[in-house]
Amino acid sequence: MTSKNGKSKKSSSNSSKEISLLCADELGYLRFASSSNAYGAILHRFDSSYCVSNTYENKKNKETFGIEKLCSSFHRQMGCNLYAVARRNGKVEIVRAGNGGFFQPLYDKTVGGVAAVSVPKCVGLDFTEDGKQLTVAAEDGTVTVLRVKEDGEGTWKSGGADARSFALLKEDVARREEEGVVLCARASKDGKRLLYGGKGQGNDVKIVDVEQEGKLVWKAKPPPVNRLNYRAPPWVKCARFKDRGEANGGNESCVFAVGTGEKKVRLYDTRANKRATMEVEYGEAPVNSVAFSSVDEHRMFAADSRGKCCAIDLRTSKACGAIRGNSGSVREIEAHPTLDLVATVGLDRYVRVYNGSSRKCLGAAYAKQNLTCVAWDTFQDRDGNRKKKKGKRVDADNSDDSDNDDEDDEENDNDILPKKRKKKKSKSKRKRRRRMKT
Amino acid sequence: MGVTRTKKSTSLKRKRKDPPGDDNDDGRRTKSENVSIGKLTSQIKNKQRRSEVYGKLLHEQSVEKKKRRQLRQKEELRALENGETPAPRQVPKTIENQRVIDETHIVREDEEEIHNEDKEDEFASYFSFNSSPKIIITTSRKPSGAMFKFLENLFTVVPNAYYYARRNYHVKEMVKHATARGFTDLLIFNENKTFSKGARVNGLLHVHLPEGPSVMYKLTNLILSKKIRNHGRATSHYPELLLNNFSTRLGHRIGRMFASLFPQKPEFKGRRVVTFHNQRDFIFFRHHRYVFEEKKGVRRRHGGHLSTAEVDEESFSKNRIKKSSKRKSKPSLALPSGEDEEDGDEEDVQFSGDEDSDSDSDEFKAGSSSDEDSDDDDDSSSSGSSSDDDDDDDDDDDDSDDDSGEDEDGKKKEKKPFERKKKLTKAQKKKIADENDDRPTSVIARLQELGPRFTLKLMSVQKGTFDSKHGEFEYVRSTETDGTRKNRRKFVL
Repeated sequence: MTSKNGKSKKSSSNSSKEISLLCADELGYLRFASSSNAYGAILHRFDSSYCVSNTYENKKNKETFGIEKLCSSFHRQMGCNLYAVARRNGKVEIVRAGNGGFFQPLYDKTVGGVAAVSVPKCVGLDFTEDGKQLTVAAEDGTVTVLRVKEDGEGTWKSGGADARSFALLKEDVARREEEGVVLCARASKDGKRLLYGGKGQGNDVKIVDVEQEGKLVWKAKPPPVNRLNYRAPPWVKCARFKDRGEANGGNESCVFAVGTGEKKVRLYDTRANKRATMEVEYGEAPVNSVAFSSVDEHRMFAADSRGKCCAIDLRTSKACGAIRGNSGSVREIEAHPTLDLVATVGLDRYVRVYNGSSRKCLGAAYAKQNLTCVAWDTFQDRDGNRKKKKGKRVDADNSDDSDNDDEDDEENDNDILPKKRKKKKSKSKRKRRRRMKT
Repeated sequence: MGVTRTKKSTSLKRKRKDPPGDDNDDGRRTKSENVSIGKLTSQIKNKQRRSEVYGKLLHEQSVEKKKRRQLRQKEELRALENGETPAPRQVPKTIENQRVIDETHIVREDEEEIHNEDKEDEFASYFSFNSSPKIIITTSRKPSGAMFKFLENLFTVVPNAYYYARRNYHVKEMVKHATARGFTDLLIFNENKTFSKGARVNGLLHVHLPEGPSVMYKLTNLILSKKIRNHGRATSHYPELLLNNFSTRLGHRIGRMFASLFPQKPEFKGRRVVTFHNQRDFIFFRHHRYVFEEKKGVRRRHGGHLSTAEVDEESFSKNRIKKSSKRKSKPSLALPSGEDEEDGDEEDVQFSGDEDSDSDSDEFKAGSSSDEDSDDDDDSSSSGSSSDDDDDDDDDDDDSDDDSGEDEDGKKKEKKPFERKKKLTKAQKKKIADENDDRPTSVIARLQELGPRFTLKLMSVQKGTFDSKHGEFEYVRSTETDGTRKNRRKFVL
């Protein structure tokens, strides 16, 4: 054990400054982008790319391997971060990737109606916080929950997971093959709730209970009519739960944001009201993606399909600044889970990383294909942060090994840290930033 | 008192200012190289005086520049006469050659990822010969007369195009109907409605069907063929297509889109070329026929500084070039060589005149084709050289013709031999007659412009067919992301 720890410590110390992220594209490539410096920040290169298509040359890549969803469990298995990848042909892979290398998928499962003529698109893919459960939602309303078997080591491996699925829609609705009934679905961090919505009358946001086979828990009320007595039919293009924090009570996922095809960003709070607590209209194209800042509770980000991204202040419920630089549709905007960073990917084939508060572009990397998703690889970074912080906080703690032991276990607690610690962190960050500037 | 003071001060200033005018040349030159004339004179408060000095300095500067240029030219001529290699010419700094080449540029065409993308994009079926273009051309609502004149021109360019009256259809409806009828492209030309100045065609929406991207262009500088001097009339042969300088990934995509407008089997007999030339993100559309004219006598080449249309130069067969280069050695304005004096022929002068007019009419063409040729030389070097070996006995001219035809693909090259033979039979009589004549012949390839001429500027590329409200864009032109006035060296195509 000690030797192992020593190794991991080494690697973390080497890469403590490094930030890296993974992006996926329409052709099925997965790519790493990394930067040697989190804040000074030139996202300078792609370390490696990984393509499955080489092995299946005759098939059409786009229709089989094109990646629709990508999500990161911020968890390690065998020294690498785990990612889930949903491909166009209905396959969900769990991929180990890290330190600039890719490995064969750990777990491989075809989800959704295989018998159907066209495979339904994957619209939601989320790990739980402990990284042991994966919720996959398809366009036709089938939700599959994959869970690691507890009896073994509790890790992802082929054949080593339970899968159960249920349908969000009644059979007759699904059979009608109406498009856009489920356009987006997100699972909460604890894996108990699933949020979904679609396009058309009656498809506004709903929350269902995953554990009770999709029992409806909450349903949004339509927004009030406008002055012409008109109410646009709901069109949920993207949604995201806010991480549970102090503001949310800490136990339940009840605050979430929704981006609509009608250029609006709405914020719901299930405790407060059935109607949106906040509504911001921005841009001139459908909102493709929303994200919450992990550093500032009151900030969120939205990106639209003309390439306009903005930061939204939740207190004033106004767009408080644009994130510039994207010349094509932004498919996904993703905030770093610990740092004040935002990444965007889109059809202009660039991955861009921005500072969340100043909204300045810190770096861009060209990924050669139309990108669909991005996921942060935060593991190394967390190591680095934790160490520094610990050094500051507990001077007497001199045994490095115990540090390393802690960080794997304690990771889950990181999000539920008391307020004071968070503040400290942000202060230290500010200092660091200043240093960087000077 | 006050007045006198000011006078004094001005006179002082004058004294201070005057020296640049009276200085010896060397000192000023170094100064003026660094500091602009405006800066030198801006301190002079009296406007009249200032403009005088300004004008004087400006004139001196230009005279100097001219001198320097002439000196350079002389040296170059001398070097050429002595058989030395002249000093390399200065390359002017242009916005274009200062362009920043970033990672969006295609470095190698055969890169795997590009290939993979091309294999499956919306134009793949066209490039794999599975579909052939069938095009709807339509207008904005209530088209004007000017629009129809333009469309008349356009129909000479695009084969297999059908006009449909716009009536009152939405673009989405048209897309639906066109797809149902098996069309592959939808071209909608827009015009402004300023009636005081007359309607003017100013936009193009190109929707590739059934699922392809839809691209919006701004259309400017439209000149109909009627307004083009010495324009020809287009034949109905399938044209060849030239796509110049589409160097980035986006440009590549746009280029493929243009390519898919035209059938993939050019009929070289027609010698018809349609060009989409990208320069600084402006896409110039031109429509030409290449013409080979065989003239008795020797074409005099410009020596030294004068710019020449290089269309034919590179494409001449090797011996031609040798001859001409020999002649080039005496480029003075007097008749170039003994041969020519014997001829006492004025034709050569005429040729040069022709050429110049051509090069004037479309400057970019000349430049582009020289680029092209340099590209083609690599490709066609084998075929070209072999033909050179063959042609010594029968006719070099026709071969050189074929080489000069701007060829792009292997497919086109394949067809050439056949084409060559045909021409041979046609021109045989003439050639025999010519061969009796001792005077050397030269072939001039020139371009005769045919169709309309306009410039396109890419505004947006939308994924999927046209959707005004909810479309998803691959590229939207904006000052934030593209080259701006501050940074003009960034281009997207």
